Amino acid sequence: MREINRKKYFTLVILIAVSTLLFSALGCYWNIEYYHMENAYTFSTPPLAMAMRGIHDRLYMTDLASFYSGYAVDSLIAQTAPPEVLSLPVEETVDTYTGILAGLSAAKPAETVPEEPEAYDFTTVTEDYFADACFIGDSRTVGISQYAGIDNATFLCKTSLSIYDYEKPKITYEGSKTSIQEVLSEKQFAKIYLMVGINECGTGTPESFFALYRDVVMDIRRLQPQALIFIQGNLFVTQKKSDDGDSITNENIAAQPHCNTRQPEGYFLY
Amino acid sequence: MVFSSLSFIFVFLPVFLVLYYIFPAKSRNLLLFLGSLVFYSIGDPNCLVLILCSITVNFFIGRGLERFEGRDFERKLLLVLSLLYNFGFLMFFKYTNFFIENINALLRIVHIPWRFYTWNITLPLGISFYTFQIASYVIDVYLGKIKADRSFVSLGAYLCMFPQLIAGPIVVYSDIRNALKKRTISISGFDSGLKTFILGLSYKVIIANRIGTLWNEVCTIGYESISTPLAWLGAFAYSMQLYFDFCGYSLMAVGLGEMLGFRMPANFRHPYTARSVTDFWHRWHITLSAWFREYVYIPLGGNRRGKSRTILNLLAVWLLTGFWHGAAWNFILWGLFIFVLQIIEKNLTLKWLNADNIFAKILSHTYMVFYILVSWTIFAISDFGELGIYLNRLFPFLIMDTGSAKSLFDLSDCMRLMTDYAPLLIASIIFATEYPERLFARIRNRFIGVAVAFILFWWSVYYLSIGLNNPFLYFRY
Repeated sequence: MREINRKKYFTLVILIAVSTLLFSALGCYWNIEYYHMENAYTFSTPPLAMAMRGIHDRLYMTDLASFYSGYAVDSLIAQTAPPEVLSLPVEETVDTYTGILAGLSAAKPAETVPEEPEAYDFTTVTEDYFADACFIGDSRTVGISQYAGIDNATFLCKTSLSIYDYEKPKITYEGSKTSIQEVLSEKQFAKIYLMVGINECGTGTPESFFALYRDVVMDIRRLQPQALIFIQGNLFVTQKKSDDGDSITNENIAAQPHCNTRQPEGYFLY
Repeated sequence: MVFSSLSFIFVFLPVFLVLYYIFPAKSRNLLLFLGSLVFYSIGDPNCLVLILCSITVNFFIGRGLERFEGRDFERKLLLVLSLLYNFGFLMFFKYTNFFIENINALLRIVHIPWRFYTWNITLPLGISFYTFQIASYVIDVYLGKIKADRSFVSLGAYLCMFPQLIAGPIVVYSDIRNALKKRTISISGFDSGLKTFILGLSYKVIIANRIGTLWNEVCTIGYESISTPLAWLGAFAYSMQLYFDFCGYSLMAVGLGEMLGFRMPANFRHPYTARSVTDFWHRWHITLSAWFREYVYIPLGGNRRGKSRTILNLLAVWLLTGFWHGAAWNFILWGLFIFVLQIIEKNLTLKWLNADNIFAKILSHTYMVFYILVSWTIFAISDFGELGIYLNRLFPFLIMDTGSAKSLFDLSDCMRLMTDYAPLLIASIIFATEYPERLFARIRNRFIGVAVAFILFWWSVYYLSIGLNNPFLYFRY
């Protein structure tokens, strides 16, 4: 009798031990399959942390999809190639920032890249200028939506939004949860303001961030061929915040504009 | 290293526990002492020497107090030396810059053009806690309540043991003296401790860390820009974060102690269900209040030397309690605020608050809501200018000109955050009451209890892994 009673106290610890091993194996598998991170495991990030991250990124759905569908997702991509509306040189490097503030009346359509930086004058606009504008971003854009007094624009923003959330149903639009990509495929805007980057500090490398950022901007261009796209750079943080934080540092932020300069269509806002 | 980290849960703790259970009982104190030093040095390698010196000095003073049995002068001298040593270091590390800044402010007021530089001092990890513990040991030996520990390792294990080293509970030596000499470990104790640990971990990671982001948002928006409803919501979020953070950590400490064969004292008893400020402080950070009662209030005379002396004694206790929490004037203001409320209660309102009818219950809980939110606001904001702005947001009728960009009663910012955080806000209210823990106590030994613990464990590990906000508010003490 005592033996049976004692055995029940082992249940929880054994369950935890076994599940730890299982999650560790899963984490290693997902790292090999999807993340391809070298030297990923430290004392503070054991393999099971990779499994948790995979759950957060819904990799089990990808696994399930590839298990059931048989054919790769690539064939779906092949069917929806971007239209030949624009032929932008993707690798063109713009050496200097062309700083243009929102509200310019003489803005050019984004298909043509200016050969030399032009000087623009400041102009003010009326409130209805923003009626066909779309602001995409993170908590800073949420702040703009709350306190800037621009009431007629469309705000596709959420605290902690990052470039990785472009296709995920993270934002609320007209009452329902949807993704930025979906909204942009349903409605056309004349101006799109994009401001992300702070929440990605510390994730990935500047190169991986740039690659994804570029893909997202290209997709926005594909969905919104007539819109002006404003890519907003990140301002630096105070020295205290930079010293305090482990990922939001001025070094990480500085690494981003360097990549931003390689954007094919180039309106940059400070 | 903190308890709520993957490196502690999956590396340090399993390795330590395996060694602890394998090694013979005689060497467990040594293993605990050494393991705790390793734990401490991962968090703060520079201050390892300091804590070792503290153990050494106090060990010899304890032995000396017994050696000089009957010789009053020598014993008093040893006691004074020990207190000067212990509290001297605490004052130095914690309060030097506070004194320098205030001297500078005074010089500024009297127009003397001289300023002292503030020093670049980092506070050693856990110094506020272990200083109080070792001081209680020496005082108790002096008073003859306990015998001095003859084993350096045993005293070291008492002071350094990692469950309570960094953030309490403040364990007095007499609480665990017997366990230090002889303790039993068993799988049932281990299992019980593990479940308590998981409960504490969930409080911290699932509730505290996440509701803390609401408070962070309010701070980011800026106190001048928030509306009054949002100011109250922010104060609520901070109050809940502080409670679940600290209560969670204390529960983790109790759980770990149980796994090692010690019975640690409880530090929280559902303080937010209290009906008066007096009762609140019998339920919040219980070991700290007990320490101040035992070593400050009672030696000063307690309530046995007349009414005005009682008031003075209470004032001393609350000023010191406030000051212990931080080297800034807002903490002293916080202590004073509590003192004033307690005096009013003891002399006037306590009988109404504690009455057994429904009106008294509603009145007392409403009164406590205001007390909790306002007192933690004073506690949270060190800068008096900022504090003034926030209090003005909470009570907008106090000053007419608010200078806010938003109309004070505009609900939009508050509603947005309330809908985003609704599940957490509701959960925090529910778990602040005693009912969930009572329920857990009934099921914890059945399979459903194991299932709940298992789910909570992985849920917490999930949040820790994806790297969400993980501060610990009582850490820098």
